[in-house]
Amino acid sequence: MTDIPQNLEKDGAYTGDTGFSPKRDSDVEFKKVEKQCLEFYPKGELTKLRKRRWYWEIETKDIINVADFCFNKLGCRFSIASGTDTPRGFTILYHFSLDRIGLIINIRVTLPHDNPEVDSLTSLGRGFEWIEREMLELLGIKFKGLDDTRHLLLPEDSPPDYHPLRRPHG
Amino acid sequence: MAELEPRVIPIGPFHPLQEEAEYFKLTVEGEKVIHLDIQLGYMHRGHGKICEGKTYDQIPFVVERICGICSTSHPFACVQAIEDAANIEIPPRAAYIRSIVGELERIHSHLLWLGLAGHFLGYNTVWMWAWKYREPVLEMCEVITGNRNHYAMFKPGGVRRDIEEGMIPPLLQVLDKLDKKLWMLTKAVLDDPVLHARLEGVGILTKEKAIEYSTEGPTGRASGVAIDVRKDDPHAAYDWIEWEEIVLTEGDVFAKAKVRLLECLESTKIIRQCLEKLKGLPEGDIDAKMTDPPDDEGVGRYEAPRGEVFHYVKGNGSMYPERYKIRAPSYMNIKSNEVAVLGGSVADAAITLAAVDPCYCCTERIAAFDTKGKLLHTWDDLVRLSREKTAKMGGGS
Amino acid sequence: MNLSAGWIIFYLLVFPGFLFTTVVGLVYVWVDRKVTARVQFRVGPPFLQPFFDFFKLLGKDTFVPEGAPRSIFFGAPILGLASVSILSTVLLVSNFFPSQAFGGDLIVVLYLFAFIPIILIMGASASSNPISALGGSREMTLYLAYELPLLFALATIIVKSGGQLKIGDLLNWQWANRPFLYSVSGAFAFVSAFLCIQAKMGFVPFDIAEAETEIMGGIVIEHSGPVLGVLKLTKAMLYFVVSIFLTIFFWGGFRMPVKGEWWHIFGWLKPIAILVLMVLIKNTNPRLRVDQALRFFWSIVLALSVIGFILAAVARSAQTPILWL
Repeated sequence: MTDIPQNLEKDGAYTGDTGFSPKRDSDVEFKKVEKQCLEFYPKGELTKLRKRRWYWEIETKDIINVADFCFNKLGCRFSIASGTDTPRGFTILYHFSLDRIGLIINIRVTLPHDNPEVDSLTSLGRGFEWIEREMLELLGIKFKGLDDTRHLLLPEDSPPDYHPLRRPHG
Repeated sequence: MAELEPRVIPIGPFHPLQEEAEYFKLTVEGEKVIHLDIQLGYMHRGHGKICEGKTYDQIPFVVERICGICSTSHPFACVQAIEDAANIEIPPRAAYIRSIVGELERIHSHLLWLGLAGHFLGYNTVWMWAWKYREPVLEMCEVITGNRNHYAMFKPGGVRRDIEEGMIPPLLQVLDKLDKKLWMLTKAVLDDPVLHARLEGVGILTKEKAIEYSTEGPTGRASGVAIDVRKDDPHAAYDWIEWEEIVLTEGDVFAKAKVRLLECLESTKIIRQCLEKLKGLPEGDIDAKMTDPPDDEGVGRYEAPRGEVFHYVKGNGSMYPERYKIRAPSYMNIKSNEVAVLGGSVADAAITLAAVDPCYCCTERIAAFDTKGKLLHTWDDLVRLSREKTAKMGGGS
Repeated sequence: MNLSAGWIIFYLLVFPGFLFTTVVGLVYVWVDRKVTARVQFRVGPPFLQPFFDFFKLLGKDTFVPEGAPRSIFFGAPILGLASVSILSTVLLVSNFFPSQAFGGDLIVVLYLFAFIPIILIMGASASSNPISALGGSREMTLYLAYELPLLFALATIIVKSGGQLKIGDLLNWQWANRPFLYSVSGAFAFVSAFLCIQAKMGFVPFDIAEAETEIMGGIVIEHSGPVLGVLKLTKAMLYFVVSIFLTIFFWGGFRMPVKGEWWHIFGWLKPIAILVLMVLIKNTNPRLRVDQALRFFWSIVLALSVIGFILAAVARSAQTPILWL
């Protein structure tokens, strides 16, 4: 019969033997991560809206550095990105999940309406590709460095300037 | 033998392998797969956009319809996102009930996958047996929620129905019987030599690739990536009870099957503990009333049977959200097939593609179409279009 | 062997040829579906369902894919049907009327057996579809895999019976001595022949060439309407033919080992028992990959049949042939 794995080590934070997660109260870890973040990118505005939901406003040009820091240095998992058409411009929230302590770091960049353009993160991993293609077709945000610009969800013959998630403003 | 010419084997958009429409374009040399291109878009309905026109009370019902199998995962993540945005805590009774419904769904979803995996391998007996043992789970769902599926149990702030004291002993009895059958099925599947021969070492997703593609759920856990939102980001009742997170390192299809089967057994453990604890709790509130619509943004996530369901909601103080984003686990997992099927044969590709337990309805749901009620194509047009498209896809040899 | 042309036509078309085999074959399909259903906790179809299915297909349209050579596309299924009819006629005539069989009919049976997969591959390659081409290549691989063990299994019983090449003589030998199945070498031969037949029928674990969930029916993907109906009918007749094939060569035909003519009625249960065994194996295994099937046949099954053959040769070379070996 198969053996059920016991007490898996997981990056030192959790051993799974009690079933009670020590992460829930590991304030030390949270402080450490916060310090790391602020040291790496002091320009950004880090809002701790809830204990496990941080919002980090950064400049558009730095996205690739900050994402690289989160994805590779902190060891975050890329959850998804949500693009929104707001009156101030397009905002993209990159949701990075730090599973070690159950934290979600939402990195926010804001792009102007007239020429929304941001660096593509596909160089970090293939997992970023689909969501960028999706934002490209639904919101019309251009991604510098995204090779595959085919439609993902819309039919392939839908017009290139048709972006269903854009909103009228003003 | 002469050099084999690469050929395209289409899996989809309509194929017996998949219950939903999806297009996998396998490029093969003989039987060996050398490239995979995945095309989405056939099941696209625009749930995110629909949600932006609904009140917070209506949204759980809408997102419940995203998928018939994980019909409680989406509401689960959804109500958590709304609660996160509105900053409310739910009463413990509601937390236990939420966990119970969530775990019941996990069992029936995993059994469903097991059955389908058997079917994909031509092992229809496993299919029928797994689905037979899925029945008591659905019946338990019916007893608890009133429905076999689409439970409509969750609302922002709590749940809609209580589990009364008298219901608990019969439920525990069913659970005991279910446990035995699950063990039997687990053993039968894991000890079958032909299944071993067929699944071991097939469609391996290495840990590096699993991290690069940000896979999650059983797909990631079979590759040694220990991600389980229930453990990592405790919510509902998951950190008040004892259970194990199943992680294996092989990364092949067999490991994925094993993770799912063992998780079913963990789930019965969770349900049993929740029911026992529920018995000890005083009768009380199951709903923390949400008085004001949220003004902030919130993220809710839940470990669906297939991985992390991610919901993001942005409120602006009105009854309607300003932005609603849904991301289902298959969105990240299906992409990882790009590496998992390479080098295998077409026969292996079929089961590998199915091994992430893809749920296409979940995968595509974000924007809405506006056709303004105009008839775009006549019947003849459609026939012509489909012929053209088939020719484009390289259907002929 | 002095048969009038009328009798030959009657044998071929009515009994025991085409018509009889069709009806019994469809009944066997029902047995398959019913047993499968019971194993899987289902109710199963009504008795006449296979007949309905066939007649329904006759009333449907036939699509001919673009670029498919029509002569092969339509001709192959007809040829297949014809060869199965001849096959069942030869086998059953030898069983019921041993005196009317002809010399070397065993060779004819083997030839016709080999002919059926070749016809299927022809039909598949005529459909100009990459998937049916893939199915065709799988069928070809599978055919190469099981053909050699099957020949060895038959060689075993020929050696055992002292070189009989007429089916009637093989049967007579079994009635005079004992069925081949009840001897060691015969049992080895039976097991390997049984597995080969499982593969020939395209039953799980060897339904590789059709593999619904991988290549969507493979070799028959482009066939529809009456053409598909004819293919299905051929398959249904094969259900019956392969069961009597194993019964005749290994289990002493339809005769029962008791005195009295009426007992032989129960002999008809023998092929059904073989069918049920095949169906049970089919329902307790997943599908193998084609390379795994090839390895399986060329190692285990071939070894089994070769062992049987050697044992039979040893038994025969003794001064008085050892019957039980």
